[in-house]
Amino acid sequence: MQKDVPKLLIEWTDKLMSTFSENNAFGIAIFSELGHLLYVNSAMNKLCSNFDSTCLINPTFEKLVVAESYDSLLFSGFLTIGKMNTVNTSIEAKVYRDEDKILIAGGIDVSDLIEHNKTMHLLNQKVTNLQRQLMQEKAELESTMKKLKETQQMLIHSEKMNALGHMIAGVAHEINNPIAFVTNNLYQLENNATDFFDAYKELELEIEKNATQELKDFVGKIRDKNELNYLTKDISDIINESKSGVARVKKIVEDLRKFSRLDESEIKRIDLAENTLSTLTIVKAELGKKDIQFKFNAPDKLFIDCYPGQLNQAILNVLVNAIQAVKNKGQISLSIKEKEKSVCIIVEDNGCGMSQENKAKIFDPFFTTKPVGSGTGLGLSITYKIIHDLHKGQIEVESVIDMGTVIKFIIPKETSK
Amino acid sequence: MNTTLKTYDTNEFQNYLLEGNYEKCSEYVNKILKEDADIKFIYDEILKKSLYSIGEMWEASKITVATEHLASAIVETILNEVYFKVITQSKVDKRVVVTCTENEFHQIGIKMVSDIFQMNGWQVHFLGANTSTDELAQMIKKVNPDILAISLSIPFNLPTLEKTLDKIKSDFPDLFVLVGGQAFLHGGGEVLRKYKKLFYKPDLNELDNFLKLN
Repeated sequence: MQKDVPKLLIEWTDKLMSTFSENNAFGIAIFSELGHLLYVNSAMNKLCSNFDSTCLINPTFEKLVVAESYDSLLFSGFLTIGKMNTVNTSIEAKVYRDEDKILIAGGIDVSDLIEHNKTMHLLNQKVTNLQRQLMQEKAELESTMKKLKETQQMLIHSEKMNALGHMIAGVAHEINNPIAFVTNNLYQLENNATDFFDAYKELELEIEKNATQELKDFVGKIRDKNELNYLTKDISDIINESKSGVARVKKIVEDLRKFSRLDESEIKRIDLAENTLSTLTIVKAELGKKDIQFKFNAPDKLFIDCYPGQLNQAILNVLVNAIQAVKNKGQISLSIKEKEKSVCIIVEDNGCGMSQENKAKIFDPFFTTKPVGSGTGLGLSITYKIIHDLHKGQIEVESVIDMGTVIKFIIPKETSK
Repeated sequence: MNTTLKTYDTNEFQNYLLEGNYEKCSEYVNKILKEDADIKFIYDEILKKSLYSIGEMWEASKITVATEHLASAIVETILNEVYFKVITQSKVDKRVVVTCTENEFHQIGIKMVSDIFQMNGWQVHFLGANTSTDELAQMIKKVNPDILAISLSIPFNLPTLEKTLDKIKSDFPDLFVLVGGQAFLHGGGEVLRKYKKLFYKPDLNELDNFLKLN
């Protein structure tokens, strides 16, 4: 069978020649012995443009023509074709001599290239897969870094709040002692004053009844000169006002202590209305500054399990925002409603409201619409964490620009640890 | 999105692919992205159409396999270039294993499928080209996915897909399987009909709608 191949090929010589002449992979060139190019096919011209005898780089044409021939074969092996200043190509070639003509025929062994192409293709797939994996991991790292930064900032904020809580608790404790003796002294002063006034009244009666006119005139002069009638009334008023003032200071100190609730970092059963009132003490001055009409509505003796200090913080954050949102003489209400298994704390204001775009971002850390330096943008994100994460509750927000905002905390009556 | 209103000359992109001109291809896709086209549109209408057409040119012997490989390599690079648009931070608690069958080396389709899942927040386990059935079964056992997605480009590989499905359906009868790819353009439905909980998704849009509804 193998022996018949050449004979078979000869039968197809015309077709083969026509195919080879147009083929880009198998090069054919025929030179005269003197180096004149007699024929070249397109493949050779592709390997070296303007193909001529100088395109044979190794072995050179000059070497080939003087080579010894065996059965007309001058050379068999890798023939490098090209120009000295360009990229060269080696083809697997045979060079024959037929009288004064030299035939060069050969092609590139592409089996390696095909194999390499396949391997490169598979490698490229792997590289692109790995690149995607890296991109994804990079995105995850960036996201983790962002969360880490947020957590770090929240921790710093939380530390600050904790420090503030300690300070409030410390101040409350320090004020308690002097207030106690001032209160005691006031009571003592009141008793003494009462005794004094009683004795004075007795004395006046005695003078009125038994004294000479001269003594009566003398006493009358001293009474008028020192305004004793007025002083008697004023001392009582002063003592009463001081008692009321001290009682107020005591109430504020008690509220501050309740608000900080540093000893209550665990879940505790509390009276929600009472707990919330301590928060109102903190914002009372701000409400007064803007002459805000404030309403508080809550059922008595509504007990829930919660983290009292944290819940106060969440309510305070929302109240502070409401105060900032309303104009002078604006309205804010804080109401608490009881549901079957939950409670609803609602803060409503008739302030500037917010756009839908801003509404979607208010719980994002560092989002703030306040001027630079006046808000950290962490208040509501902390509130969210306290209500959502800590108390397993929900926050609902409704807002209309120039109409106002309603923020609702819905928290279960019993918070599990 | 104005992608449904505007039409693009995909021949232009296809010609750049055939020339092996990565820069022009990248420029073309980025220009469309800037015009607010979404990833699905770019995948389905530009990249997929061009590659299907190039595949047909190869079948018609008008181009070499090397040209087809080069076009694929460029498209894979472009997929990575736009991948930043795919990565999303919102996650759903669902997992998918995406894969090609054994002897199927065309992984661009399944990469696009993988991206649609990822854009919908799914956790994607990408196995890619030429995945053996055993390797696939091991991954399913390990990951316990909600869906297995298989892409088939060459109709010649249909019997391999059938073998893979026989094994997977026997080991994991309740697993939802989605299949798609160029191989099904000219048939293959009879193979798919014999399996339960198996759905054919002809394009990325249908896949996306399916994921959004389920």
